[in-house]
Amino acid sequence: MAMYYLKLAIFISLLALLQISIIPQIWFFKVKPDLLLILAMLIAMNAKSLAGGIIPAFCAGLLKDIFGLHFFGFNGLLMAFSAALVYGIFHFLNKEAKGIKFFVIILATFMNYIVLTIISGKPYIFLCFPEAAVNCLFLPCLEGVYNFFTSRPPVCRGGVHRLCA
Amino acid sequence: MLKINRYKYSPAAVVFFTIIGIFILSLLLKSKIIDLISFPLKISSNWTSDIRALVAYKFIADENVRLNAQLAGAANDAIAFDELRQENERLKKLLSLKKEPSFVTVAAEVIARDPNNWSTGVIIDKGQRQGIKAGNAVIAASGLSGRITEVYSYTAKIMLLGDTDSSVSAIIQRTREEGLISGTISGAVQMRYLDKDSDVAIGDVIMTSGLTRNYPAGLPIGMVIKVKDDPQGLGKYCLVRPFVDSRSVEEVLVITGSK
Repeated sequence: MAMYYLKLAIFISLLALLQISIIPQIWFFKVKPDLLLILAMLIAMNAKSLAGGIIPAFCAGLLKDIFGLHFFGFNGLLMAFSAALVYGIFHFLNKEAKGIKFFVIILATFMNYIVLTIISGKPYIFLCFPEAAVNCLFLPCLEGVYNFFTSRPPVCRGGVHRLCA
Repeated sequence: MLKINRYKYSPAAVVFFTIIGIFILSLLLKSKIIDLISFPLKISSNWTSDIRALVAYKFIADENVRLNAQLAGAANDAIAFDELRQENERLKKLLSLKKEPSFVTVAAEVIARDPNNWSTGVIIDKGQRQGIKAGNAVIAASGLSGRITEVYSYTAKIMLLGDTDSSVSAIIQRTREEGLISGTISGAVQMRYLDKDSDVAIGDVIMTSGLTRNYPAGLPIGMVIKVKDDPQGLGKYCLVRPFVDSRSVEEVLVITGSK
């Protein structure tokens, strides 16, 4: 378990570096993907406990805050809240439903911008549409890397996976 | 026999106190984390620049040919400009005007960019140790870039002109009309609070007026690309294309004082 969290910490740090140094330079479009938000949601979706979902998501958000310009703690708290929500939702919904992960990413992105718009009083909400689209584009790729990096087998599909059968 | 009571905490309490703990710790160690991470960031920044240069090789080669041709044409202008500058200095001396101050600057390299889509900022590899202070104006090769908002020992954060919280008092070079340059949500730059009968036109150059603290007067900001009426009908505002592209800024000069 400790090894899993160590790997997760390294993965979050690497992704934060990618988000602030390489992605802004090589991504030619104006709106860049929020890799840390995608990762936080992936962690929450795969978490075995509430703490295991919220705390890594909070740390990922806090890393964003450290390198960002405004509202220290905003991303941390919001990602922790989103992670709690996603963890809760995944207990009631069918995890294997087609497109549920995309729905979660869109929901988290929208929530991020709704709270930001309310707090700042500026219409940032318009930015959430392109960002949600870009985040969805990056989700399958990042999920693959996440599964590989954290050495977790793919989610069991009702016992048909050979590791779960 | 000594009995140790074992308290069982609810998961929610554990999460709450862990979050509070991490938050306080990161608040205290924020500057150390940024300084610590500046070294790998600098390496990755150089590496990315090299890759980009390789990818854009053909474009850069074409641009080089075009710029060489422009440079040849500009040589005559430079001679004429130098002549005018010398004449200006002579005349100023004759009139005993105070010599315009020249700036003390610190050159810095951009090592990281804001992770959010809703704010526009960069992190540079120079900080307090090099004499940089919060509020210092930042310029790039072609004009004003932004201002320092946070300073750490070896790094500093810059809020670029396109950020929604950025505002600088400015004048239109041709008409000398004053206004306020600020960022928009889309990252563009606009000049607001112009008169309803303002003579502003597309192509006008915008410069700092010197009214905002720490921003010296006369720094070029950008060029007017669109003029619009204010939604309230009280005045005009114009969209400005900054001379410094916030997405591609790589080296900057921080104005730390004047000679």
